[in-house]
Amino acid sequence: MLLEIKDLHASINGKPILKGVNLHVNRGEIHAIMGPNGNGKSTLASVIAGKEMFKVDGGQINYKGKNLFDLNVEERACEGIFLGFQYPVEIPGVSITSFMRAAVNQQRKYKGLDPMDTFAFMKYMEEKQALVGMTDKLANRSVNEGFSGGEKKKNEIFQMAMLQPELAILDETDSGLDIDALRIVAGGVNKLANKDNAVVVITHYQRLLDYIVPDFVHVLADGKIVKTGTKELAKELEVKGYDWLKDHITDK
Amino acid sequence: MQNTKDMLQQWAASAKSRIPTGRGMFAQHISLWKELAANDFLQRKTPLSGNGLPQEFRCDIKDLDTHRVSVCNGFVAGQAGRNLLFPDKDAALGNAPCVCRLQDLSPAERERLQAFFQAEEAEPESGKIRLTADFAKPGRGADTLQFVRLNRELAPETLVVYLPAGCHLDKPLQIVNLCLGNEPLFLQPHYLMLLEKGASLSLVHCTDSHPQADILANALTEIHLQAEARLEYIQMQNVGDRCKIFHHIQANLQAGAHLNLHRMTLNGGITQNNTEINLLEPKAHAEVFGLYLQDREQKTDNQVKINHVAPQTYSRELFKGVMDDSAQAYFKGHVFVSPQAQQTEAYQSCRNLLVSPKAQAYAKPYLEIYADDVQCNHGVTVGQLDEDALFYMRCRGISAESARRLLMRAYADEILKEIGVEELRLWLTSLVKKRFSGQLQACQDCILSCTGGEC
Ligand SMILES: Nc1ncnc2c1ncn2[C@@H]1O[C@H](COP(=O)(O)OP(=O)(O)OP(=O)(O)O)[C@@H](O)[C@H]1O
Ligand SMILES: [Mg+2]
Repeated sequence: MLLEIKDLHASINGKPILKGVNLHVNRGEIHAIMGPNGNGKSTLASVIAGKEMFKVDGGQINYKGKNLFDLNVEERACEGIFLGFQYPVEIPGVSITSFMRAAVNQQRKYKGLDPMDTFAFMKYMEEKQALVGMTDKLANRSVNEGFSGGEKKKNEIFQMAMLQPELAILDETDSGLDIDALRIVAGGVNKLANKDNAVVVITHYQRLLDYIVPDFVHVLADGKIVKTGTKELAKELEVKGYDWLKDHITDK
Repeated sequence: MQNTKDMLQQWAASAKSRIPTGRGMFAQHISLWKELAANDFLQRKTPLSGNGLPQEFRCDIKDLDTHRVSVCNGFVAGQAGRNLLFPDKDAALGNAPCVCRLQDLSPAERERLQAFFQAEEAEPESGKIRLTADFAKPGRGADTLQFVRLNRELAPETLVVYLPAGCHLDKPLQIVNLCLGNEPLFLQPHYLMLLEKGASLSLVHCTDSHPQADILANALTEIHLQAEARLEYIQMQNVGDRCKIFHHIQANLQAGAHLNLHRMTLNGGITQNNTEINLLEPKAHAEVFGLYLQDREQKTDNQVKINHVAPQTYSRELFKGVMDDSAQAYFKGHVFVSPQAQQTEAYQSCRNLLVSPKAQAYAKPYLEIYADDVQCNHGVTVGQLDEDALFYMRCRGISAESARRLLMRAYADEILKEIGVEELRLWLTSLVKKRFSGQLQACQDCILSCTGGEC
């Protein structure tokens, strides 16, 4: 099993957000997490990535057989966890190229590999740029600074392609994309996904799941996974909304 | 002639009453008076001769092809009487560029040169430069005059940089100023620079020391740019933590002259960069950039005074600091626009990045404007490293330490990219990179501690 979350509880400033999440992800699988606003989807993603702001109050996360809590943020990334941000951060003055070179080479160092030389790196980057249709002009700009919403999301997929993660968690990477961009993003994900890695997409739209076909669909509400089904569940939610699941939501 | 010892005693005695008192963050925490009044001040030696000092310094800065001149403890290295740019030629203010000791010029030439640098000693009423009431009162301006006097009284030698009309040097000039010594010293480096009409020069001026050196310096650079002359002056400091360097740069600009001044503080215990620029004639143009990277207990103080006394003059100031540990930074900018300086543009900005909870930065911009048709603004910010950006970078596998460094470097880049000469920009960029990764101090092979391979 690639990722195993058992009864995870997490809070921020004393306010409980995750209240007993259970989730199993195997290599080769694509999972979708849906659920109402403000119910803990991004929190779950952040806790997996290691954001210190959230306090883990209980439960376990095992990743590749290791206790995830033993690893810091960058170690988790080097172990193959990739978080596609719902709100990608702007980094003025740091170009995408130097950002990615630092990331790729630090991950290589972690794995005991030599850094990529400039020439090889540029070639590798070109390849991945083509995948998401990122122009050189954009690649030379500061990370996300002044990017449109769609450009930021494409940049997340570009970074994922560069880093070749084993577990990609994409938090609303489809939000704010036009149809063409959505196809590009979904295409990027599909190209990456294979039998050795896994993808978890967090989304509000069943539309995305026409392009990225999930093996499992989960509903996260009030800090718990309240229902798990197949891609048909997403269609059902599209029609019925989340209200009919209320019975499953125990607290309040 | 008084002897040096008596003079120093007088200065030390008068310093006691001149230490700025006042409270609050701008009661000058950093003041040369304080150093002159210190108990151990009179124990400092003032070197009386350059004998025995090295005449050449090894320096293998990669890819930096410059004309190099060395100054050590205030003494100019190189053969007496010669033009240090062309050692087979005599020192002279003729029609060739010349770098030499002031003492090596003929009395007539000395007088001709010094005539350019008397202005600020004239009474405010009779001089060209009208000082404001505030400026003439005891305070920065008055202190400055004193320190200029101190330097002139005590400077053992003066390095002259002279470019005749229309002259461009084929490559940048590099002045390596080295502070050496096993005992505490009080030094007065002094530089006079005259660029005649339409001349242009790129100058990089590094001050270095032994990591352990205990130096107090009252350095003075005086610059005169005639009409349409252009000077890019990169003044860089990388001295040990026990060094206290007070360096005053004063420049007078005639019509259409351009000055690009960079004040780079990479390392030093106490650093005061004083800058005073007089835009004397129409279309004089000055840009002053500052970058200070401080950690441990280091302190910096950047003070800039720009006098717009003629119409259509332009000034821009951009200072940025990165402060770590318990470092402290002060910035005080004063732009003065006289009533006749219509259509003046003046911009002033100071930004600080505090990367540790104990670091402190204070900035005080000040515009004093008596003309009505002007464009001026000022801004000050103090910020911290962006936590979200750090997390984002770490999420990509970049270590927390590297992420911090990347952000700090990006912050400094905004200043570095203003350096016009590409090779100098790349060189400074690599020094800044090393400074952030803690390698600058560690570089023991070379006394100049600015060499070494890629990192
Ligand atoms: N930094 C924070 N400080 C305080 N509360 C927070 C913080 N981050 C998240 N929360 C709270 O945690 C709860 C869950 O937020 P989260 O972002 O995980 O929701 P979500 O399911 O991703 O919602 P959305 O679908 O709108 O993205 C919300 O009530 C939110 O206000
Ligand atoms: Mg969310």
